[in-house]
Amino acid sequence: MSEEHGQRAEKQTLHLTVYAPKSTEPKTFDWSKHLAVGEAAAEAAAAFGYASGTPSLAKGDEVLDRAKQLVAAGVRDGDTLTLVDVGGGV
Amino acid sequence: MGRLPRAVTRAILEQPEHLPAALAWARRLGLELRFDEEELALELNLTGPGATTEAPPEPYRISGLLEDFDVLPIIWRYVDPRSGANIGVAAYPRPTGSSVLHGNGLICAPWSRLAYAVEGGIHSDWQDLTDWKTPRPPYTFAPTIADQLDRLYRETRASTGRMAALPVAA
Repeated sequence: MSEEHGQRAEKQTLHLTVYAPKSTEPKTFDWSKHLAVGEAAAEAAAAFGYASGTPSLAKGDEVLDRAKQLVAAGVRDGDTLTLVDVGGGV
Repeated sequence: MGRLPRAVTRAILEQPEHLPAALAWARRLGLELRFDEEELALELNLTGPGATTEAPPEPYRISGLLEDFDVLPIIWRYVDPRSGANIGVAAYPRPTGSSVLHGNGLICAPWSRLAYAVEGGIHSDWQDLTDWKTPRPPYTFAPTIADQLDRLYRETRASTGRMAALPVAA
């Protein structure tokens, strides 16, 4: 693979840090920027040991739309995100 | 009188995913989560938006009573941020979107003990309090203290003022 091709491929991948409320330590993930937020959150939830739920990711106070691609949801390389559950109440 | 000896509840709370994780979660957000080991109680002060963009921020306080955790869910309440007293709907933020904040002044989720009809809540369809960690799609799934607090924190931050004005302080 040429260096140029490698750089192009690298830019398609986001290196992200994710915290889950139940864990004192974060985990890191390398995800395609085109991966859906919900799919990324499901992978993170499984990695943190959540057995069920409706996982999503939050960037600061903003809970991201599970249907959007990471890049469209405003996630950038190097971001720190939080795993959240968006199941309903009442 | 609880179902579990308090020493057992304390041992459960010391597990990494419970109190240590909740305290770490609060530190990450710059919040002070207070744990009363004698009373098995938690308190967290939060701030939410005012009812309008011109209105000042609203103070809130969340109280959690942990007796019998984690056989039974936590007794979560919003209380008077000045005194810790139960004041009903005036203690609660007005929710936006899909919410666990019920208009009666109740945290309505499977992980909230007071949501169950047997505890005076509205959910007669949730029968067994000890079954609270079983997922009930599409309801919220929050199996640890920090997951529950994170949900309440985010709902408070996204709220639109309080459900009713605080009563005049005594």
